[in-house]
Amino acid sequence: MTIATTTDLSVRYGRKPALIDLSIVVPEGSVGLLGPNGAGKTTLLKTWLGFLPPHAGSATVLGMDSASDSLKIRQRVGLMPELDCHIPGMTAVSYVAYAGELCGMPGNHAMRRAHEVLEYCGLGEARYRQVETYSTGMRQRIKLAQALVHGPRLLLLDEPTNGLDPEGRDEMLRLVRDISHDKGLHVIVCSHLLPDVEDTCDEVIVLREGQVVTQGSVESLRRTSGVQVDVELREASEAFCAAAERGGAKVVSRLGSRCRLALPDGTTDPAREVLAMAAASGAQVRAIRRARRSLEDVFMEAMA
Amino acid sequence: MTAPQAGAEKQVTDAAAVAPIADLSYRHYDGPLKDRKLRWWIVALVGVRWAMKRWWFWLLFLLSSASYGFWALMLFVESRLGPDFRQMMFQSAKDERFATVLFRSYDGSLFWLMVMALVVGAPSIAADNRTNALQVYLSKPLTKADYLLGKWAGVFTVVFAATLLPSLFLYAYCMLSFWSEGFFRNEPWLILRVLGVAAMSAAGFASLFVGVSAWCRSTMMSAAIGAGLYLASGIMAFILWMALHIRELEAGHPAAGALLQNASISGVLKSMAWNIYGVTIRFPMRGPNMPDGLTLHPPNVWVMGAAYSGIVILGLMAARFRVRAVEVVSG
Amino acid sequence: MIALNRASRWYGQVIGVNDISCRIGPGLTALLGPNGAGKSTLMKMITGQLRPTTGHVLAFGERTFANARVLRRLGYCPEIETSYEDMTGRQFVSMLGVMAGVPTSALQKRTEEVLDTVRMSQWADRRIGGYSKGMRQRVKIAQAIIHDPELLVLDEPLNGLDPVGRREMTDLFVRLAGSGRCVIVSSHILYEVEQMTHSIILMDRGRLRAIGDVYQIRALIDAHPHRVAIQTERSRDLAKRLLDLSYVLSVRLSQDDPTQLEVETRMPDLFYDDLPRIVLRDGFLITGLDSPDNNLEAVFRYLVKG
Repeated sequence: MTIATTTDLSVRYGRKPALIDLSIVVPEGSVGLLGPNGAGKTTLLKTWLGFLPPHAGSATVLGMDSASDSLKIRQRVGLMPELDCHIPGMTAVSYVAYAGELCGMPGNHAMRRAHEVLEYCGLGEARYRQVETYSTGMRQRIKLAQALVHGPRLLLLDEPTNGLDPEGRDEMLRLVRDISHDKGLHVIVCSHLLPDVEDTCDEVIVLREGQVVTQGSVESLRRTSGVQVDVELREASEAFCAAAERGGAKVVSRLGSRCRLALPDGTTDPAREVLAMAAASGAQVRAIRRARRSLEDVFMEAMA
Repeated sequence: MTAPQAGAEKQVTDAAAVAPIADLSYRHYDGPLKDRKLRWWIVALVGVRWAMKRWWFWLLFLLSSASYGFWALMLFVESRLGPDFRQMMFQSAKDERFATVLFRSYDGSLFWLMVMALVVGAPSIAADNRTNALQVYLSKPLTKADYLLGKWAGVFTVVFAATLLPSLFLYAYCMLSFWSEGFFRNEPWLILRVLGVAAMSAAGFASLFVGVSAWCRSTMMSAAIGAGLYLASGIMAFILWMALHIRELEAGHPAAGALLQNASISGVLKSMAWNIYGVTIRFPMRGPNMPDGLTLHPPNVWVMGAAYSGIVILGLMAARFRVRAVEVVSG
Repeated sequence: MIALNRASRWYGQVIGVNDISCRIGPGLTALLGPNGAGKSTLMKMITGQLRPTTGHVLAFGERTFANARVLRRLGYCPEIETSYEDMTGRQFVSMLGVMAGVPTSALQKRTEEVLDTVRMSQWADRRIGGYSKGMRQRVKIAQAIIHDPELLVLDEPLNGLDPVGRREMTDLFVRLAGSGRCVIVSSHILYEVEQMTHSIILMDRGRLRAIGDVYQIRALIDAHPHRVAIQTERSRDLAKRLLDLSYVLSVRLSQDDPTQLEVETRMPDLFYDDLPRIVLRDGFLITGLDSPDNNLEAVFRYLVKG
């Protein structure tokens, strides 16, 4: 089942084109939507939710057309906006229950569900406090809770870790990972923090100037050609690199005590080779990892 | 052990055998989802509940109801002291007596009613603007029209109830005490007028204050501007009235320039109520130009009606225009 | 360049910064800590906006509070949003350049240079009110560097920037720090900080938790011995061999992945010297070797009680 699609979609702001002949298919699961500022990510989200009419082409979400079924879409989709937002003058429970009622849940269902969702998002005792008293981390969680309360099939997360400290980020990413896998919920994450996207998404779509530049599974995009390993030594060692080259490997890149080696195709035991090179050059190996392109590299290449 | 109990116990034991530790991870919601018909009422209810939880709301309710209590007392005293007392206060046509009392009560309650409408109406959209709540609202299956209607209806309901309840109390008192004096016989449609005034009043205040609220980012600003508009229009109307009609007033025509005198927001509301009750008030003062005392008719209904509609429409348009500008997903 | 001597600052009963003494020299230093740790208070004291309630805060040997001489050599990029909505980007940067003491003759040239550095030349004549979050951030960075300060204090400088921008600005900060300036960056995004520098200041609840090189700090955290993750087919056999080593404290087999083992030791050097010998001698096929907690994130987690 496709979660969201666009077919030759063109959207304009006045005369300025924001999306140009865009045709994408968002697969099931957890998808990252990436792109530089002004690439059209927010325009795309707005079009899917029915706030912007297409100039040409069409967009669908969960099988429903964005232009004509905007309200039905919003009943089945949860949005966690980027900016700080909440309904004033309510406790967390009332707020989330209210959000549920606005989606059409009957009052008592909404209240019960609000408690359940707040529990899941980690707001225990704090749920009876006014939202105004919440810290940034708690506000982000409540944004997630109000997006989940009505049991959406698709969740749109716009910079979910915005403003969170490292502990908060870890927990939010854990929540996003948890919710996007095996729960029957599909997720689209918009973020500039690529490692966050690597961590939580299985697929990515990269936009640029209103068009798709790259699309694919994170796993396949990150694959390197040939047998490449990242080696970390205790300290930078020229001798090690020399030994590597003698051993038939190519030093792809070096930064301080880390280097990436491309071993000859067909090497079955890269670790053995690396340890042998280290033994030969007297270097101490601290890490050997299968090299993968970082999503940042993928992104930079797409932008070039 | 009776059979049903044994059955229930077995069920629990069966469940425990399958999964003794409950799975508290995220579950889907597969329950009912209603469609959009009364979505706006949910928004309105929030506003109503919020007001009812505030102690100062009830204080303002009491203050605005005081006027009705006062006039009930007047009726009571008058009925004891007889027609001479009536001469001292005011006169009304025989079959307009109770309508006049209701109108005078409304007039007396207007100031506190305005304050109540202000404190309920000022934060209606302004508080939402401050916390970006519109982003939350619009990400739900709710149109902007639902949102606006809900906000308006919240204020309307509160002010409507606050005007209607004391009026009904007074009406009931009159009905019980003065039935024999032709209460219902003379003015059988009075209850409709009562409802009409309450609705007119609530709609006027709701439109005005929600309209102002939509343009502000803080409750304080919204309240200040709302109060300012209301009071300033009163002061301006008064000054203009004095300036333009000073000669007539000095010459002993206190009713001169009634339209201008009521050219403020409070004046318009009062005039509309006066027209709905349709009473003529006579003050038994004697003066060179007033052989029979001062007779006051309701100000021209068409002019006042136009002014009233102007207030309501402007308020609604202001809110609609402002709320239109917000976008859900910001870039 | 910066010295704090038992500096404290409190607001009524609430303690912002509690008895901090440290020196920060040239290079790029990261200021880290959970929300509420006191980082902004510290930065405000360094940039002369707040006076310490007790103790001293010195920059270039002088007290910082409202000190024009210090402020002239200092650039600050705060976290708050700019509020000059009606000015263009160029006007804003120019105005702040004047306030920072850039001579009129050099002002225009410097403004252009700096706008070019932050890649805002194209949009410099648009109103700030129409800028996106990323554009505003770039303009803020521009105003912090226009007067070529020796000391740069940056609070979440990459906020709102897209990945390309993040990389460009990170490279800029590293470059500036490399040329002898003292650059302090406060950020919550630990993996980015790791790429910028190894030198950190970690705060928690107003107190200084750690200062220095991140790997040295890690090595000193006794409560959490060094962990090594090894991935190999014959994990149990390797586990048995490793347990023969006297300095190995524990070997744990992963529940989810039978090929994954985790070793704990207090003597990582000896371990890394002995491991190749064992692997090569007994022919273990290693598919992965890593130290999962020898990084900034682990240091943060272990030292901050949160």
